Amino acid sequence: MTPVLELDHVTRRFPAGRRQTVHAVEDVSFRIDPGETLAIVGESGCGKSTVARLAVGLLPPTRGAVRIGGVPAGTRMDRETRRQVQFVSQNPWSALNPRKTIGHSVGQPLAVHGLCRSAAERAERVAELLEQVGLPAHYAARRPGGVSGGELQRVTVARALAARPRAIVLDEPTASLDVGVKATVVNLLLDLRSALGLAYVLITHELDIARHLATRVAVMYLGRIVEQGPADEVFSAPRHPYTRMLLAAVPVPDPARRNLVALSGEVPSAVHPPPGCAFHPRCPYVEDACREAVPRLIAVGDRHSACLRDGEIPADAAGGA
Amino acid sequence: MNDRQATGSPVTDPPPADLLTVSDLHVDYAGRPAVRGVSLSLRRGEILGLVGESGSGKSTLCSAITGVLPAGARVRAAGLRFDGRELTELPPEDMRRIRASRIGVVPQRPMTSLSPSTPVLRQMRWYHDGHDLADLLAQVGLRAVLDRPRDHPHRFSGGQLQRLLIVLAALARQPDLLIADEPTTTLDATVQAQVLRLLLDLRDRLGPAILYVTHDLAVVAQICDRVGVMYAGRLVESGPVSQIFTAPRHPYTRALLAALPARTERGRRLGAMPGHTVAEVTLSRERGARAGSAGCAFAPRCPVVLARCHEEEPTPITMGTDVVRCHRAGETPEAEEDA
Repeated sequence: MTPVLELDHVTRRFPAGRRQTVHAVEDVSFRIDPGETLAIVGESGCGKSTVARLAVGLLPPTRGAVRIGGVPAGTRMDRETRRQVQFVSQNPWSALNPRKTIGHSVGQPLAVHGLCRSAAERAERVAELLEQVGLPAHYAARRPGGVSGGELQRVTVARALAARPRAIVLDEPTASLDVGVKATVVNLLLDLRSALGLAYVLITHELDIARHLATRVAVMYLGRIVEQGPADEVFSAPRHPYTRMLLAAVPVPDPARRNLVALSGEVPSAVHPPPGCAFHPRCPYVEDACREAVPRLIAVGDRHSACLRDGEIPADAAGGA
Repeated sequence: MNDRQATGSPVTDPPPADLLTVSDLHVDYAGRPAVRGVSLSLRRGEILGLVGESGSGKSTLCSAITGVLPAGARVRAAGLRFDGRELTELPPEDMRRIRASRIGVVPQRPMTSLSPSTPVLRQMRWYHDGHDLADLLAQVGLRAVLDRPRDHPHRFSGGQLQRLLIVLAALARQPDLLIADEPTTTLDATVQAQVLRLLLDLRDRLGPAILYVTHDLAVVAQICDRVGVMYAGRLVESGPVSQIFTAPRHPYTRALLAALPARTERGRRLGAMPGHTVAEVTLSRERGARAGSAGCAFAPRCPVVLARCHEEEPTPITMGTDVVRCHRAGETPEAEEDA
């Protein structure tokens, strides 16, 4: 089966002045099949948003290839290919033109991709799309200013759906929302996935949201995927020391299970990543070899982990989240 | 230090159980109520979490306690007692002194709380000129800051700055009350864990009371002793964390907990709060904001609403260790769950 979306050894670097380079994304590969949800998790600066922009063709890779339905993505991508992967950004307030009506914004992909023959048909389709995301059709006449954050995020999802995509790349779709509203957006994503068979790439630092929605998860650290695998397995038995640390840091909403651990260090600069394994300065299992060689992502079954000591480190309860 | 002596030294005169007692506090912004009739108390060494969605009045409540409300805000309270003294009756001069020496504030955004044009270490020395600054920094694992005397705030990470500000607020002055307004909201998970650990260590070592404002219930579960839930300016439920997380009595608290992915089976729909559209929320908030209005502010969104809830505002009822503002609080939760 041709994957909906595929990143093949993608690297993206940015110049950072004084002949320095930001290693934003290094040698990242993944594929998404129809109906699958891949969560890409990690802390700020790990490169996950750059992956999102690479995946929808907003950024060309420095090396490697992005393929949508088997076709190389990029500026020369034809409409039919481009249509298949849509994007929902973190901040719905800046994602919509405040001077245009919601109906105009949602209808824009229909016009661009020539999906409707007449204005009347477009209006009808816009009403349908709004309904699909749980908004009344008369919202089409409103402007973003008169609508709540949760509803605006629904509007951006409706706009993404307008192009009839096979996959949506969601960049922190719930990060800016209140608890109750967050839940309604998560439910919407669940409903749309089962109704339309959509695939998602869910970029998030909210590990509870990732755990809830994902079928597979990729953990990024300083531009690289350090662990990848089925979500239930990664969350219940993380292999990579960084995944273990990250999961251990997520507070559990249960006062009977106080799990706050003492952690050390912070994510280093992507301009001067540490030599060898980028995680070695914070790793409790570090040994000399880790300071020299960059560990490759090694597959064990459908689990992948980039750790020189993979298999030697005892499984522990660190990731019980 | 003078304040401490004026209120009696703890050796001869044991301090009252409550360090801070807020009774029936109201705050209006140009006639629009932001906090309505909130009562709470805080003991030394205790961490009280204050949760609620944006606009629920959490931050206004904190500002009222520290006396930093913007011009135009009007405060009324039956009492705002801090360590035996009535804050509302104090001359501004005394209030300033208490704020400077006894109440510490940890801000939400560390970056904007420091001057961008002065090295961080020099700013630390403005507030704490003692030679033991090195000791303080060592205690929180930030000794390395001493080696960076010329580095401005932008050279530090958010987590480092937040820990530095906690050092300033909590260690240097050793306040009796620490108010932390969403101090980890902008931080990553591993850094958040470090900051929370630091707060717990400080509490254990120095024993200040901490008022911790957040919208993150998981953080509350991890560090707080008691929790207050705010909705539309009201404290709708308060009690020990164990009670609130296992047997919440207010429908709003239950809705908040049901919305958490961690408390729901993977891939299942979350308990979504009814009434999330702007119109419904506004109606609900407006009702909360209308002074003297009848009815419960949560009624327009409440899954277990009764006719009475639209007519009569519930008063706080004490139930065991909990205080709840709900007409149906006395009923068994089982009866309401299927609604």
